[in-house]
Amino acid sequence: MTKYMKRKELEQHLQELEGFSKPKILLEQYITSSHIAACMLHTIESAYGDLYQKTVLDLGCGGSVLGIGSVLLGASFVLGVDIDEEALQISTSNISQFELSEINLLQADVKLLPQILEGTKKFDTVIMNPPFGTKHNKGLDSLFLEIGLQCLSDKGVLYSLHKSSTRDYFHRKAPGWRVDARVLAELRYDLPATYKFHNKSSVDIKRTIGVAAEPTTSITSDNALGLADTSSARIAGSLLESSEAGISKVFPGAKASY
Amino acid sequence: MKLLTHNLLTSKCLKGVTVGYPLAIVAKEVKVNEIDFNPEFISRMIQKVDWAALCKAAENLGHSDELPPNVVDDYENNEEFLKKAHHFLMEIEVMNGDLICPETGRKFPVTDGIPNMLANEDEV
Repeated sequence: MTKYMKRKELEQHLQELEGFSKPKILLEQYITSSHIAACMLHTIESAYGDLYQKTVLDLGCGGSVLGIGSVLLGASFVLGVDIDEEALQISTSNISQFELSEINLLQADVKLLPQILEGTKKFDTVIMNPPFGTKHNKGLDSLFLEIGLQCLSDKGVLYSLHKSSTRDYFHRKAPGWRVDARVLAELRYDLPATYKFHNKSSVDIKRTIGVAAEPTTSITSDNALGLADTSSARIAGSLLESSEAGISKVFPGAKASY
Repeated sequence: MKLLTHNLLTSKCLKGVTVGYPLAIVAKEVKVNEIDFNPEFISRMIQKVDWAALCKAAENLGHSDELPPNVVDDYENNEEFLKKAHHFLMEIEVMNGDLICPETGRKFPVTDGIPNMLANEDEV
């Protein structure tokens, strides 16, 4: 493995990226903070070597913070997929700012992606920071995960950020999806007041980096906890205990579904 | 849109389409980006890509006969072949044009290098 960029340096680069100027509530758009992205990507590369020389799919890429970070850590090819044209425009400007040629973007509905990519040998690594799947978008986080798994090659690995409160749900689901799901770290997600009807200036939400690898065996909670402890130690500084902020509070006005 | 990306795309999301592959390319603007040649990565990609679809794409872009019709034997050690594959898979970018479903003729526009594979509800 090559010598990869230090986490701090990666974070500084990612800080230069542009976020959403007019986030769309129905798509639950919010930028992945440079700190979270740097912690996540650095762990993926330093502990698991899943970025360098890999093909990476960035699902629901938004401004491509994760995709750009992946290339900075040595990914050979990244495909960023988003349904939203404005998100892709922001991605384009972010990618050109870094003069990266290893990323391609695709405008598509993630729900149709398994058909659009059908028959191909798929990606080494899937990364995503999916919509939370709040009560009005219920299940969207789970759907992103299922689709991400379908876009993986046989030995591929998926990394995703999820609300900690959904951990048990995903652990129950994993055997049915034939994956081994592990909690890698707990991060306090500092969601800035992106939507104007937030009644607090900022809400902390615990998010979990999970990893799922195919093919699989069942998991035990001991395993999962053990891994969470080690990985958390690796990204010390971002690990903070926080009370679970009610996610439903974050989007009190959202009505329509995705 | 690199031809590597094009190699992944099908129009099978459309109702009634059975294969939807490969999509034809009608390019209005193409550019070439120089990318570091990584023989290890390209060798691995050659195992994954649909070579016939890559040849077809190259032909659509006016590069007939520049790629051998089949992956050559012992390609891992054939630098000339790997460099050619690298150029076509990674460096050529279709910036503007259309991708065309081989079965229905439905066009998917490519704008500023981004293919738009969105379909209307009644099409899927």
